Formats: sequence, C-alpha cells, structure tokens
Amino acid sequence: MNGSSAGASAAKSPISPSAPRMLLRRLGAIDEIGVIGAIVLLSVLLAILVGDTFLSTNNFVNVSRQASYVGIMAVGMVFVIAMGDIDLSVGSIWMLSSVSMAIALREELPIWLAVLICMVVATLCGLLNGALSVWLRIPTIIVTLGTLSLFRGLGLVVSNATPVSGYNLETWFFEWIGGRDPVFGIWTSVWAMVLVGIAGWLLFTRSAFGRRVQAIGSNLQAARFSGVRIGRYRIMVMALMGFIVGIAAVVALAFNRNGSPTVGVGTELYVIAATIIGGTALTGGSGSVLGAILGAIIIQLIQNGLALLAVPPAWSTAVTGIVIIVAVTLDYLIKRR
Amino acid sequence: MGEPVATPSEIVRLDHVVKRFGGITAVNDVSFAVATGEIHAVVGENGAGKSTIMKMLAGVHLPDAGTLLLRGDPVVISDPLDARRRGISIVFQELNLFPHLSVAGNVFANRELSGAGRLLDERRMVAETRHILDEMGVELDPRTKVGKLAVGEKQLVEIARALQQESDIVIMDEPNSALNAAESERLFDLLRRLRDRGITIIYVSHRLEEVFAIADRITVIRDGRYQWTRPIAETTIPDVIAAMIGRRLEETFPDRQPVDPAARVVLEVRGLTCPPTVGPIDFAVRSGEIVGFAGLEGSGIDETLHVLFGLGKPTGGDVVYRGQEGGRPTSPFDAIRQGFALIPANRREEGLMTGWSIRRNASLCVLDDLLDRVGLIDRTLERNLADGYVRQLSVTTDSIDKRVVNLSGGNQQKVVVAKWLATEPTVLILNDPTRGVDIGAKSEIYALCDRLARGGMALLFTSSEIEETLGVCDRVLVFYKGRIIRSIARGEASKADVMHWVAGGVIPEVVEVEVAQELDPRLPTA
Repeated sequence: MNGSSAGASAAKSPISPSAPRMLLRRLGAIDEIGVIGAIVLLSVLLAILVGDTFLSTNNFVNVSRQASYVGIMAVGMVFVIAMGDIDLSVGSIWMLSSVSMAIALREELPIWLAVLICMVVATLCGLLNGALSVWLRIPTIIVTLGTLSLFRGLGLVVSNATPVSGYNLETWFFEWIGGRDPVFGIWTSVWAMVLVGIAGWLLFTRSAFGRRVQAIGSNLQAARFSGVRIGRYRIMVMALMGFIVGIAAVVALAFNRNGSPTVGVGTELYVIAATIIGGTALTGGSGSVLGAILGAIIIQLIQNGLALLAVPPAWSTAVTGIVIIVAVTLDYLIKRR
Repeated sequence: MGEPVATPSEIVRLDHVVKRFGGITAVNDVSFAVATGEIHAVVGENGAGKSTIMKMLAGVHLPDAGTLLLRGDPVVISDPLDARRRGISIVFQELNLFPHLSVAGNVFANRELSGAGRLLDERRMVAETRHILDEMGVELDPRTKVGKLAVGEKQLVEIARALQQESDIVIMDEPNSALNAAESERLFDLLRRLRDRGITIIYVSHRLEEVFAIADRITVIRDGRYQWTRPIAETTIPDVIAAMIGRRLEETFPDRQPVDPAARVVLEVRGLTCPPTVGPIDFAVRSGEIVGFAGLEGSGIDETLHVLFGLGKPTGGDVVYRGQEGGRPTSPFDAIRQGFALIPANRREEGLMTGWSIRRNASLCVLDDLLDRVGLIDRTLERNLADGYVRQLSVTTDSIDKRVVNLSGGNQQKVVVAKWLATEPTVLILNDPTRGVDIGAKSEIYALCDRLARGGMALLFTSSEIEETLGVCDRVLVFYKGRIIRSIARGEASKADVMHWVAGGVIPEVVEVEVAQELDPRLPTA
C-alpha cells in the first residue's frame, strides 16, 4: 500500500533522483524499515559497548530464543489489535495451558495428548474471551482484564501454586523439541516463530480472513454493511490468539521442562509492546506480522544489552519501558510526517 | 428580491452577510431582520444555507462579509459563549446534552452554582431548574438522567437551559424532525407562551405545515440567497414552495422506457411494520424497474431499506423475494448472498474503508470468489476486478492502488458503486447515492441506474433531492409518518406536489396549476 504511493510520487518528481536517493526512497517505502533500523542500531551499539560477550554465539542463541516466545504471541496480537481489540490475558493463557500440559505429563498421558491438551486449553481460553466480549457486548479490554486474573487463578488452583514436575524428561519431546542440541533443539522455538510468522503473514495479508479482520478494525460500520460477520470474526480472532499462545506454551515448556505457575507474568505487556513497535496501530485497521516479530527482538535486545552492561534488573525494566515509549513515539512522528 | 418588511423593533438584523466554505458560497449577500417577540421561521431546501446563517448567529461561524446587528448595534459574535452572553441560545438538531448528567446538571452545565467551600450547590440548582420547568409548564423531575429521556423531553431540557441563561433569542434548528405529533404540539404550545413573554424565536425548518401552524413571519432562503420575508397571513404554502425551489442547474435525467408489465416481480413487501411506528408498508418491484421512495427524515424510508438489507428486524409483515415467502434477509451477509446490495447514505461511515485502496474496497464483498487453489486471494483476479469497474464507471484515478481518501466525492461514490456491482445483485438499493457528489458524476449515476435496470436489475432509489427521485424512477412511493400515502407514475407529479405530500399536505387542484406555471422554465423569475 505504502510502497505504491511512494513509487507514484517518485515517478511524478520532475528531476530524476540519484541512485542513492532512489535506494533511500525504496527503503523508506518498507513499512518495517524503522524497526529494522532500530535493530541494526542497537546491535552496533551493543557490539561496540559490550564487544565479544554480545557477539558470542551463545548470547545470540539466548536472545533469539527469549525473543521467540513473545514473537510468536505477537503474531496473534497483530490480528487482535488490527481488528481494534486487545488481549490482556495472553500471559495467563500461557501459564494455564502450560501448567495443564505439565499435569497431563505428570499423569503419564501420552505426549501427543498432553500437547493437544495444552493447545485446546489455550484455544478455549481465547474462545471464551471472544465469546464473552461478543455475547455480553463488553469490550475485550475489560473481558481480558478479568480473564487475566481468572486464567492465572485457575492455573494456580490446578498446580497448587507450585511448579509441576516429576515426569520423564528422557523423551523425544524434551530431548529434541526442548533439547540443548546446539544445531537443532536449541533453535526449536525460533523455528516455531519463523513458521508461525510465515503462516500469520499469509493469513494477514493474503487471505480473505485477514482482509476482513482489517476491515473490522478499519471501519466497523462499513464492515457490517459489507456483510462481514463481525461477531463471528471477533470470536475467531480471539480464539486464534489463544491457539498461538498455545504454540508458544508448548515450545517454552519443552525448553523450561517444568510447568511453572509464575511463567508469563506481565508477558501481555511485552507482546502488546512488540506488536505496536512493529507498526500495528492501536486504532486498528492495519498491522504488520513481520514488524511484530522484529518488535519482540528489539525488546529482547534491549533487555539483553542492559544485562550485559551490568545494569541492575530493576533498572532494566524501567529502561525497557522508556525505550518502548521512545520507539512508538518515533514511529508515530515518522508516519505523521 | 424584496426589502425586508420594516418592523418597529428589530432584535436581529443581517446586513449583506456572506459566508464561504472553500470555493462554495453557502450564504450569499443575505439581509433580513427579525422583530422582537415574534416567531420567525426560516425555510429553505437542504443545503440552502439556513443552518449556516443560524450558526453565524450562534457564534459557530464568523461571516466573511457583511454585518450582524443585535438590538440595532453591529456586533461580532466571536464564539458560542459570546453568543450566549449576548442572549442568543441555539437548540441544535443534534442535541448537545450530557446524557450522564441530570436535567438540572444539564441546565447548569458549565455554569454550576457552588455553595460554601466551592462545592456544588446541588439543591439550589435542582430548585431553580424546577422553577424554570414549572414556568414552562413541563412536568419533568430535574434529577432524572437526561440519557433516560425521550427526544422531545431532551428538547425541552435544551429550552430550559436557554431560559436559565435568560436568553431573549432562542434559535430552534429543525427542532421537530424527531418528534411525534403530541410532542410537537407541546413544543408549539411552549414556543407560543415564550413568545408571549417577549422572547424572540427563530425557527428553522423545512416542514411547511408546521411552520404555517406556528410562525408569525417567514423568510425563504434558496441556494444561499435571501428570497423574501412575509407575514404568514400574507402567503401560502405553494408560494413558499415556489420560492424555495426556484430554478437550478439542470441535471440530465435519462429517458426511461416503460417497464414491461409482464416482467417478473422480484421483490414484494407485504404489511411490513418496524419500530417505532413504521408500516404497514406494501409494495412490489419488477425486474428492470426503478422504484423511488420520497419522504422526509423519519418517514420510514430508512427503516424499510434497512429491513430489506438485514440491518433491522421488522415487527411484522413478510418479504417475498423471487417468489419465496419469508425471504427477508437476516443479516447483511445473508442479504448479499441472496442478491441484495445497498449503497448506503453515508459513504464515509457506512460505505468505504477510506484508508484502503480502490482495489481493496472494490473486492471486499466478493473476496470468496477471488480465491486461488490454496485459498488465498488471487491478486490477478483482484486487480482485474478493480480495473474492470474503474474503467466501466470511469473512476478518475491514476492507479487502483490509490487510497480512496484521496479521491473526490464523486469518485469515492463510484468506488462504493463498484464494490456493490461486483456482488452482481438482483436488487440494488441506492440510499441518497448523489450526496456530496458533483453534477457530472450525478448524471453518470443516473445513467448507470437506467443501464442497470435495462439489464434486468430491480432498483430501489431514494434521495434527499426530490427532483432526482422523480427524474430517475419509473414509480415513486411517497412516505409520510411511516406509511406509503401515494404511488405516482413517472411524469405524473411535479416536485412541488411531492414536496407537499411528503410534508403531509394536500394540494387543491387550482393551486397545483399555479405552481406548475411558476415552475415552467420559460417564464421569467419572480
């Protein structure tokens, strides 16, 4: 969309621009250019300040893996926010589905069934968010503010508020999916992020589903007049959000090994921040799946950099907040120009 | 153009007032005066400029030229607050009340009374509000939340607010478009009593019956220009209508061939009723026929069209569609699937995703037909679809990827039309399709209606401009207070007739002839 309009204005310009300027124009036409620039800038900065520790393979793997959970969930959040809604309960869905899966494993259910339970619980949580919002006509910000506590509370009840463990770790699931193998296992969650990202990108930009989701966020009334079944779509998108959280929960559990009742506390804010940093407007109507994943990487880079620079963890949280505000403001100013 | 009638005591005078918006002159050299303590009606067609004049008096707009005189002195009314200080209150069409506050809270909004310690003196505000309401002869509890009141009662709250401010000029802008008969009567009663207390009322409306029931004098505005001011006793409704209509730029309407009486009845509405007081409505549309709806806001047209598109639920009656009973669409999704299309009245709010490209808007309703084997939107099919309609409807644009917000009103409307033609409808509903569209595009839309009907589509057409409905349609159904009161064939009635009927009036035969003569373009202007 932006690409073509920028191209048209370039064509209209009477003086033929020089090659570097053309390149700049082309780059400027990419929606995610701001986020990509920020990642490059941050990486260079950290490489200079921290040096080898930052550039080590080990650190790279850590950053990617930690970014991947938020990145996966941010793909779902793009749909939710582009539709003009929000989901504050994703951290709690993560925790509840993760604990459910761990309990299933402890009860010696087959691994495939445990994975299925995780996915079903997560999807049902999302479905409930959507259904409550549509049927009771309550905005999702209110519904998910409630289910944020509800889901986590349920998770605490079923887990007795203690980490769920004590199951056989010597299975393909923990050995391969959550393995420490430097070639494959350690990258599983990153691969999952890439796959979810590609699927999400196709769904968002190229499918009728994605188009209608954006129609709802762009102009609810006109979408209704155009025959978009709004209630159905809103429920489907919230359920999709839950489903995607389920994917993150499975790969995270494979790596973390026990079902911790503290997992995902405050994650919703990072997921939302990643989505917005990535260029999805809170007002709805448009979004970027790639941007959201890059946004998750930015957030992780900042936290990693601050840790490497030996900034106390308490400060790290505060600085992350500042950076999010700066990033979103910059993006807003650039787009307003 | 006659001089305004001289009056002993003028409270308001406009002297050669001009107001422009961009290139459009909304008010063009208007001069007239309002006398102290009269009910002065200002009438004109939609867009004649009457609301703009009132907004200048209320301090919303500043005149670009000319002078406003208040009690004989030239004044500059800089903002609404200034207007209120000068004793002018305006009751807008879209009421400006706070639904979450009480009646008293609204009456005293922004001028709250405070007692000791700067706290609000709730008791005194309630008491004073009650006093004002008593004076008005209105039984309303000052502590009721305004959100719970009926429209008519809200209007009374607005008037109470004006009285609390001791305004001696009250402007009513289209006050009773949403009122029922009893509420209107009560409002008129109140206005007469206020007048008798010496308050000047400027009453803006296009409902002539009501104007003749209440006003002392009447001023006619047409195309931003002052026509004349006369005491009500010295004029008649046909006079006023003739002055309101005048002559305008000719739009070209297509010639229509008579509809084949053997053509299939596509849609039949039987005894349809919907809330609050619409119906029973009965009509039928044949394939290839353009049926027009004429009526004022609140006459039941919008409700009827919405039911046909699955946007509203009727309380009774049946819709027979393609010979099938119970053919009423239950949702817009269902309506589209069955072959209904609705070009909505409000393009920006209901018709388009303004931030989207032409291509994406054009394909929105037919995405399921554009999928490739994998189930994704086939980009070539989508481009071809948009390209085809851009060419067919001659949308002026350099690319189908242009965002519609950057198109002119006429081209935006063509995109809406494209979007709906893409669904290949059997019944096309056009709700005021030429609003905010330039004359050239208007003619194109009329020609398109004709072409689509020739192709066998059934069209339902309504417009805020009656001559348009008359010019486009084979048959016009006149709606009044939720009922169809008349069905007129093409060329059977003049615009003046229909204007009279939609307002609930009956024109005697003799008068009809006079009006027809006045409308004859060969005669010189009055």
